[in-house]
Amino acid sequence: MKGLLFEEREFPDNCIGCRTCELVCSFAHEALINSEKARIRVVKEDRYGCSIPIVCIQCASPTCVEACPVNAIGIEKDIVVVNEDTCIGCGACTRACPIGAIRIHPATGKAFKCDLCGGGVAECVSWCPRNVLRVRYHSEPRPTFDVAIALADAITAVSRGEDGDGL
Amino acid sequence: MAYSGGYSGQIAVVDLSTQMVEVTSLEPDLARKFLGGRGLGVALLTRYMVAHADPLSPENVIIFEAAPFTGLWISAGRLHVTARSPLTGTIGDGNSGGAWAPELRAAGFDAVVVRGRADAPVYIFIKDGDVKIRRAEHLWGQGVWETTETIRNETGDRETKVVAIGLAGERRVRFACVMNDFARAVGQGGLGAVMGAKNLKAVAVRGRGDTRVAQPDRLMGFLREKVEHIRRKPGLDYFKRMGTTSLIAPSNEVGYACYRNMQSTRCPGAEKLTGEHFLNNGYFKKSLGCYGCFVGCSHFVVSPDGTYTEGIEFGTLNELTACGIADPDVAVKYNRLCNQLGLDTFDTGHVIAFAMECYEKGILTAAETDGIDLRFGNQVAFLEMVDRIARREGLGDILAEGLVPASRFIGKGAEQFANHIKGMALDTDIRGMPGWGLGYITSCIGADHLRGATSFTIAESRAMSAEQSLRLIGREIDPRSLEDAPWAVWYEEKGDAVQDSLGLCKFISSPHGGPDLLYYEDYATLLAIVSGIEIPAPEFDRIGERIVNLERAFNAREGFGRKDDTVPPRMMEPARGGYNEGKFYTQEMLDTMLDAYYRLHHWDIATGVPTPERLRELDLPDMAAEIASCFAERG
Repeated sequence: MKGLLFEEREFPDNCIGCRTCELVCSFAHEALINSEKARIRVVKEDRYGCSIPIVCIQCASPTCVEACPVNAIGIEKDIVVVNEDTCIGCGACTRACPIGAIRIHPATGKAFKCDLCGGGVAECVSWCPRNVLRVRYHSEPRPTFDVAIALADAITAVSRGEDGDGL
Repeated sequence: MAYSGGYSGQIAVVDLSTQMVEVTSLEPDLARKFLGGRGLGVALLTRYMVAHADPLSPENVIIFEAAPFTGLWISAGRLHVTARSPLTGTIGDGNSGGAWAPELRAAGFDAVVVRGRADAPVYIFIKDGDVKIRRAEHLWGQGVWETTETIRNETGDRETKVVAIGLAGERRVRFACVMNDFARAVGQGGLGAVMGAKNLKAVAVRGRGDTRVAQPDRLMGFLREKVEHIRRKPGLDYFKRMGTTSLIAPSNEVGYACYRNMQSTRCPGAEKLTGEHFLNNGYFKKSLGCYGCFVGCSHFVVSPDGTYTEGIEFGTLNELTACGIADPDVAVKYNRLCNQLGLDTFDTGHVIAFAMECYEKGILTAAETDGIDLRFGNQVAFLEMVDRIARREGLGDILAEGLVPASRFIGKGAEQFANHIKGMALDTDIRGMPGWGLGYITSCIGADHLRGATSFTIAESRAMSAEQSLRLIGREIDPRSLEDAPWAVWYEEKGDAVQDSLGLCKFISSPHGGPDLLYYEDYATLLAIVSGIEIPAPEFDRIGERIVNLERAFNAREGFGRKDDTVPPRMMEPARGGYNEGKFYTQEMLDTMLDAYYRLHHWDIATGVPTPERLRELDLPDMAAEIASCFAERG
């Protein structure tokens, strides 16, 4: 499957936490700016300098598809898509996705997720200032777990430092 | 709704004395005249603060503002904060990066005005249009980071953005800063002390609303074109890696370093504070950027002993060298300590440098420093003093008042070593660079490098070509010329005011970032795209002038004028040890520049005060009337 992957490299080619991906995503899909309506979300922990974009990687056998009680989620041209007419907004998919890449849209009440901008050049990829987002073929589930592990690693790595200064 | 985008159109006015919250609308006329951010801030301050209010009294007002470009992915997320400064007595304002201002916009407000004083510690929580005052006794005494994390937990949302003060703000240290998003600072002018005096520990905000765009079909293409254009700026790639640490080397080469309380403009061993040193020795772990930024000049820094923080900017490092210290580990510790205590790294470093010189010259003795060996270069003593200033212990209590009161209190000629303008620490050396210096001298908030100081006049810099200079300023600028300096500052200060009022980062837009980046034409286009408000490009110059005039008039009302546009004694001694060796200012030089500068502004030359006529021409009738009565009173 081909999906959006977060590929961080050495300084300075890392995610800088600017959230530009969220902004252009919401704007490209909804013609307004609202991170809550972005298909990609950045998990940030400013204290520890952590920032990790969370986005659907388009699994070959997606748990969201399995979990949907009304079969509203399917795969079309290698992209996992939600049929909004069928979706009942129950949220089963959001609980089933291991990385939280599918959510309920605050305005429509239906599930929504990355559609790779229809298969052309994804806006977030083209705008990312450090090119850490790529659309690539991948063999899951490795990338799925990388995100959570990277976040945990990053936080523990720095918090081993002097945090007991009582301030 | 009066706005089709850009603005949310609402201002929250919170009175901490009465616990009342009032939501008013942002009049379109105010937006057209002052844009947002800094301009809106000074306009609201003159509206809500009574003249002569003591900066630490309930009558002072502190205002947090977004701007029309807030939340666009062109480095425009600046949070601007405005109040009367307890450090200088002038207007006090500044801005910082991070994500607080975009969150405020998403929560439905353009500005939050806070007046009065709470009986006990509180914080304000704004969520999706709803403003609440919450108790904060349990946060009093906590560091900025713990406060931020506790408030996020209490609001049940990791995405809650927090502006907070540390111990320094609580104890009303006159250069305490306002911190946001953990390590971002509205540094200068002591605005943190204003929050502390109001018993206001923090302002938290969470917004999930839409930011609309008036002409959505034009936005993506315009931003793409401009970002590509700015990316071609020479040196931007290097800056992207190093951030402002890239200025350490030039500061020592061309003479704006502050070694040993400005006794020399060259710091031995400064190469240990350069970006290269931090990078090659593993301090820089990650690049970090503000909201919607495509540059990302900030860093996550970890020193070998595990001390971590975001930041380390040039100014912080420069003040370290002012104390005779050039050690990267101390730099990380200092940066982190100031972030947590909520101290301005500029004034804190500089006031300690001042105390160190007093100590070495025998004006301060070990008895007065409580046994601390306050020699230049003593790292342990330095970090101990930082802590004592925030806690107001011993000598720290005196230094916490700022350079002017501290030097008067210490006496015995200590004033000779207090390097400040209008009470604010001079953060770079300005000798031999009249265009750079005049910006500091005339800045309305005291010595500051972002309000008129022209970096393109430093050391025969080639940052502006003759063609650009003619086109943008109307004459060629000779960096050493006293006659040209006022013209350069006049150009820079209006543009800086506009940048600050649109929410833009100064590094990617003109004039401060360099010529021909984003400028008035682009501001006009983008403002129309975002908000539907059509303002012709030349009008932005007038808006900038209006803002500077209102700030200047605000100061004049409090008694400031020509007598305060001056330099500290050390700047009148010959510079030593660098590119500007032997250069100094004289009163005659200052007078030459000030006469021409006031003339450009059509201000009263004898007093340096904006004339009522000039203020009326700039659509400031209320302030014109006030200044007219001031003139009448003083004859």
